Amino acid sequence: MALVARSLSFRYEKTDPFCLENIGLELHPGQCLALLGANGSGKTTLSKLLIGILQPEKGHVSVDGKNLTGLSLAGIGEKIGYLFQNPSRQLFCSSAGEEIGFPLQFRGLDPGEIAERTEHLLHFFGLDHLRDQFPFTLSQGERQRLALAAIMVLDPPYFILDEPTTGLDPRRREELFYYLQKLIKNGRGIILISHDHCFARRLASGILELKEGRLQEVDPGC
Amino acid sequence: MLKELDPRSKFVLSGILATLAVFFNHPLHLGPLLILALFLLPLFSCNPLQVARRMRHLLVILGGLVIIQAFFYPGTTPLITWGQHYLITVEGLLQGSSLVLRLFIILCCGLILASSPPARFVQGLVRWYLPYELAYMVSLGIRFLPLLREEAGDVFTALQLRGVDLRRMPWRQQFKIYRGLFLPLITMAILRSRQIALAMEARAFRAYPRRTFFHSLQLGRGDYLTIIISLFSGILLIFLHLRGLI
Repeated sequence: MALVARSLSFRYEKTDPFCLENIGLELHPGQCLALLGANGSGKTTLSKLLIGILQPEKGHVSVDGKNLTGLSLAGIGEKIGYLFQNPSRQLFCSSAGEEIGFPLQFRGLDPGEIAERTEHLLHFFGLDHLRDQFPFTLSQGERQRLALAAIMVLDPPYFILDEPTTGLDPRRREELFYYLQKLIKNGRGIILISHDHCFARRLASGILELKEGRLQEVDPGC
Repeated sequence: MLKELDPRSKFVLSGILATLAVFFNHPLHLGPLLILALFLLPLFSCNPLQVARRMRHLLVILGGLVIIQAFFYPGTTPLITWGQHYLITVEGLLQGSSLVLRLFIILCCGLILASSPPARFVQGLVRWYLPYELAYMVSLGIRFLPLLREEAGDVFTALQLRGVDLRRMPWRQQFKIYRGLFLPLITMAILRSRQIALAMEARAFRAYPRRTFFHSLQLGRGDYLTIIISLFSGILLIFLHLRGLI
């Protein structure tokens, strides 16, 4: 049971040099890995490879023993919750409440249960008063929280969070920290991509850094 | 390289090509016109094969258009019949082919125009007395399209990553989802365009009545030659066609 990447190499054009080369990582349930690196080092590209949006030229990714190439995006979504770097890009419903409850409608759940789960997450992320707001009119921080709530409603075993603290004030950041910590304790695996080194080092048990297309483990000390 | 031509001469050339594409209505006329347009594209640093590869999905739709036209155009010369009914007629097939050839020629015209950098494109329109604001909006609109496409792509990816498998859904439910996504996407585009307008005003767009251009457009010998040849050949072809000579 793990999210595993083996010998991944990727480039956007066949004529370009590889932007990621021979990448390998393993994420187990209850573990948090932080992925650090400078702007343009390939963190988001790697996350898109891990979620199956991009296909590696070499190597493969598997989740709980199943190769990603054999799964549809919807199938991958059941296993891995992915927070986009720009949350606006993953919000598409006409209200915040609908945004959270959207995937549950396709699972034949009881409307009462959908409402209950939605309310719980709205409350947890401090979005109760914005329930009927159009997501695009929310502030950056509110959109970030809504996108997080929207991926958490499915309760997948793994999460890949691309810069989850962007736009959050210190109080919200601290709340997110405790929420993620709780998820890890409950056996969820998290890959955290962040520029907030302190946040990442406090939460993660392993720190990886992308440098010149290669992944290296670094000292977790803050 | 014709890519360096003034945008105004490109307007004339593509304008003539598009006019001829609308004027002619037979594959025997439109075919050679498309060959000419395809021959011109590499001279404007545009690779037709690369474009075809990118637009392969559109090619399928265009193929469908030919079939639809072939079936539904009321022709009199049957090609395939079913009992007393004409399924496909020669006229229908010709009409369908003409439509697709015409669309391809117009697409080539767009590619010729797109070979100019947006700033030169805007200046070309301004030199032809189009108000600067309008010219700039045209160029901004063109640049906005890929952004919208990317945004829509991300939304569909996000939708699927939330466990919604569109491929396994009945088409009615798929349609309902697409319809539901349409309004937020349009609203997002409108809100984004408002943000862009605000950002432009914050950077002094239209703050003063006169503006400076870094590079001023100047028609050269090549431009005059392109304009004259395009106009002359265009008028000649129309004249010959009206006289029934081609």
